[in-house]
Amino acid sequence: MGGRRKYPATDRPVFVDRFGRRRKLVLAVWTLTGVMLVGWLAVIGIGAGLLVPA
Amino acid sequence: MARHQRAPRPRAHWSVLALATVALFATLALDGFARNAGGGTAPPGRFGTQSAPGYAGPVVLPDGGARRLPDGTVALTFDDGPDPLWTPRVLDTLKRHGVKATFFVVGTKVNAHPELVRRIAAEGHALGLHSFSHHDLGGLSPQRRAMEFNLTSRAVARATGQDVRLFRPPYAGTPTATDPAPVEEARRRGYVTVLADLDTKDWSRPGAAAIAGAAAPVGPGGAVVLMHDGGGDRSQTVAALDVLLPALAARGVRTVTVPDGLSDVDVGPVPAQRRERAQGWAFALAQRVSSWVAGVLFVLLIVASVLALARIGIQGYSARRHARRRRREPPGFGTPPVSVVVPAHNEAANIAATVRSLVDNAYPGLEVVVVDDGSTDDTAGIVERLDLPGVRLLRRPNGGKSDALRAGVAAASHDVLVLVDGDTIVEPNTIALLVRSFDDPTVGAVAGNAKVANRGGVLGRWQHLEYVVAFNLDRRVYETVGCMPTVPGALGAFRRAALEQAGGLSSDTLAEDTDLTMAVCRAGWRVVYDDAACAWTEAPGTWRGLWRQRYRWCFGTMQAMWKHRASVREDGAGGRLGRRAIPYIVLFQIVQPLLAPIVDVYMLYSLCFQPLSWTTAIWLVLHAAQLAVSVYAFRLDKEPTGPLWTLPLQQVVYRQLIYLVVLQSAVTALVGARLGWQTAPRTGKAAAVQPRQSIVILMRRGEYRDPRWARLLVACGTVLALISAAALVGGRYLLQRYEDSVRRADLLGPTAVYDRDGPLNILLMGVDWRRGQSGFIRADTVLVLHVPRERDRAYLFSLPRDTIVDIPAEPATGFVGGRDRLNAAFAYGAGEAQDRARGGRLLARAAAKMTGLPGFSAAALVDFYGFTEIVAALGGVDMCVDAETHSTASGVVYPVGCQRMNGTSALDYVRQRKSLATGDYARQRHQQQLIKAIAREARRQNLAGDPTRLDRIVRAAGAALTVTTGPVSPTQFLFGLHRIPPEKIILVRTAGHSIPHPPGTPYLGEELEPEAFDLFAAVRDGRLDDFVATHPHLVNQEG
Repeated sequence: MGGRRKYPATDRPVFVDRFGRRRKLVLAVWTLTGVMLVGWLAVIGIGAGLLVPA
Repeated sequence: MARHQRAPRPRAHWSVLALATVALFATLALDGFARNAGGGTAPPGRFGTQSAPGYAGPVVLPDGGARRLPDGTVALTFDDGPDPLWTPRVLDTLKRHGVKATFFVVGTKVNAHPELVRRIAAEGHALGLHSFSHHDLGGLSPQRRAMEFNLTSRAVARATGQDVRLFRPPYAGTPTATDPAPVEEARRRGYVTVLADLDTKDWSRPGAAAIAGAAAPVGPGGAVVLMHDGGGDRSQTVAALDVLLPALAARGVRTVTVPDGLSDVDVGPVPAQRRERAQGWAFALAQRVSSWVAGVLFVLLIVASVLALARIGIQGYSARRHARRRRREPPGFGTPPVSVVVPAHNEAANIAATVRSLVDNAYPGLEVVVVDDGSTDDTAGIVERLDLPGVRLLRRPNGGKSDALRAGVAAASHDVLVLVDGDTIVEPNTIALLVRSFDDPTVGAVAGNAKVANRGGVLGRWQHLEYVVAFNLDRRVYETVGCMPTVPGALGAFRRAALEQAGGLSSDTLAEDTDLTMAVCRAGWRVVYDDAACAWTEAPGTWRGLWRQRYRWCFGTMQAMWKHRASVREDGAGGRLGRRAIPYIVLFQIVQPLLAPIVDVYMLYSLCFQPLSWTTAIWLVLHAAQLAVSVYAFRLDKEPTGPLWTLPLQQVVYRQLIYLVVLQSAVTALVGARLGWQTAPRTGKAAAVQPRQSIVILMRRGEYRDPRWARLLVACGTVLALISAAALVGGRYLLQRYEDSVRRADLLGPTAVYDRDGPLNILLMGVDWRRGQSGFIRADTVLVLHVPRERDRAYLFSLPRDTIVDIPAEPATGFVGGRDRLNAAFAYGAGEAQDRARGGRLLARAAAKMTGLPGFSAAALVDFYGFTEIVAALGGVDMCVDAETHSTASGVVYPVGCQRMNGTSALDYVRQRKSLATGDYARQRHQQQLIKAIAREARRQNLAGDPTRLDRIVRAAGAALTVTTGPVSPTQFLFGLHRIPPEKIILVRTAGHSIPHPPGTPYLGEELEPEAFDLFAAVRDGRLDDFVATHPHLVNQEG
């Protein structure tokens, strides 16, 4: 099928859950993951001498 | 309808993914860098090292001065540690003898075993740096060299809290055999470079006694001794210490560390700065984690490869079973009344062709219900104006596909319902083929064979491949295991009873076709696949459209699987769905695509840091298997195999898109964001498709024919790539085979001198040894091949074996030294144990002393048996006999003239001297002629262009030869000489005569004439060209 249409009800999330709480949790996970990855890159950079620790 | 809080589509995971990709590459690069560490026998990155005549002693200070250890002192030094097995044993032995030593440690190993480094320091030994990854520092860029120094220093600082000041470059030796570049770099950085007076070459495992012998200074002067505690099996080194240390103590020699030996120079460690310790800690942590990550990736690579091969195997097996079953069990034909429901929303481009194709089926009593779902174009008007018999139009406000289908099913009259998309063209017999399976009363639904109509362009072609290979093969798998999870929305047939029992069409998911089919399965109905019932549908023609479609399909499938998750615990058809189909989808349509990029990442990592052979083999096997199953799928679908030329690119490029789609879907599913239907502009290309019987017409029109130049280009490129990969893998295999077939041993000992850019002097030794022979082995032949620095010519001269020379002592055999014939040196060195390497080393020392040469670049040793093997492998050589020769061994007479000689006759000929006027000097000439004849024969047979013959000859030669080529491999060394043509090998006579003795008295040997010493001086000074030009009478003519 094609063409534009309004959003039907079939776009509900897969794992139906309480709202708000899930989104905050996911955001926290992404943030933590991102911070860990940046931290890991910093460790490599410091070890390789590309970054100078204080 | 539940109210949901609207939320933006998740995007943060893309940033995290990008960051994770960067972190992964950095981690793997670090692991590759650390794993490239070598040690011991690992060869450096370039040929040879330069002479460094400027260092007067083994200890080079930062101010440029060189020092020696005081008389009566020995500093034992150990390189390439710390090793978890050998370093503790060395330390234990030193402790038992109450001796301190100096350890030059490799940075990667310090990070891996910091506790050993701390133990070294705690027990009073000295520490020094030995680079981070044990690469030849002279061949590295300045930035890389700086990194080697810094990382090692930080590693030691982290482990011990000390900043050490000693340094030894990898592959260092004596002051005259060490590349000066890293030494100068170390000096600029304030390090004290410690070379060696005595190189035991324990890495070559010559035996504990030999190591101990090489480590013991001959005279009273102090010495720095080079040994190893890592980089290989150091059991002989450990054993040698128990021999050496008591012997040194008995001689009154003091064994000290290097700093203690240089008591007037401050070379001890200083406390490390906090910053350096922190950097060392960081890199050590990074090294450990990166090693773990690489290990995990390797495991995931194996898992991904196994999954890929498993899927290919399952698909191939199931497809074969499905095809046979279809042939064996032709479904009965029945013509129950059929209602076709066509939901359409803005399908003006294709609806007329769709409806006409349905009516053209001429199926008796066919009813077509077109449900216009609130189109804003003229879809409904077109259907009305068609005014075809049996076609009804249902107008509805826009409510979605599921809603339209529900309305269409409710309005349909018959019990057999065929659901067709508004952009799908059916073939004239599609309806009949689709419904014939309903003759089986257990069948509740039938999946048709949806094909891509718009195959032009790369995207269409890739989707066509995917439909034929992945979708249709998977359907055969599902039907074989009795659980089809999806009847495609483009073409599927249902019993009304099955629909009703399944609860009708639902709006719960975005993949309503999968949801419905799963419900039908759980209701106990069989769902089958009829590959003959074909329809042509329009696939997305843009990347954006494709992304949206696959995103919806993947997300919708996840929704459906979650909705029907209870089927895992059900019995019967539902259980088959839950325990077969759903795990198959999870494993091969979610997990495997997510692992696919790991295969690509690991391939990149392996290309950069690991041997090519096994990774290339895995890649080739996977793609060969994929190609095979793809060809089979195309044949089953009766499709021309032409488009398969795009398969390699599709595997690399298209797979990345699917991986991203699956990732996005998984994240969306977890996060709980919203996903709706998107637009997909219709081009009407499906409407241009004619029924199957006209496919030949299409091919003739050129619609299914790709440009010949493109096909040829890609086919040639693919073939070249495969050939290149095979050649690369095969070449590396052959090279490794050649390397492994040649015995390597240290035949030169302290006379080894490696000069990358200078002339080469190669010592050639032939020994009088036959299989099974016991007793002493003498060197029957000793020659030197001198190669000037230009490497375009060579000079071959003999060292008369009976020349009376000074032979140094060899403690291992009890030989105390003295004057004897040159060939006896080998016998004294080898001893009754027939240690040919040791014999070669003593002969080399005697030859160096005889000629005044500083040393030799390489050496080769061949015995009688091996010699005949080499000539036999060549098929014989052409020799020109210049004087009639009677063999005292075989009785054969070799007349004057050119003749072909096999191995036995050639060896027999060149051993004769008694019947020749000039005796041994004639024999030397014949031996030189034979070597040149071998070179000529090898060139004539063009061995370099015949790998199989070369392989046979190299293996025959390798088995017969023992070589020393220094820090480079034999193949690298030979490659360095490949520019020398046989005709540019000049044979030079070494002038000498028999020592006069009265008649009847024993032969006293030979002595050299002044011209011989002039020859040696010319070799030493690099003016052999001039010497030969002014001494033409010394040039031996070729035989």
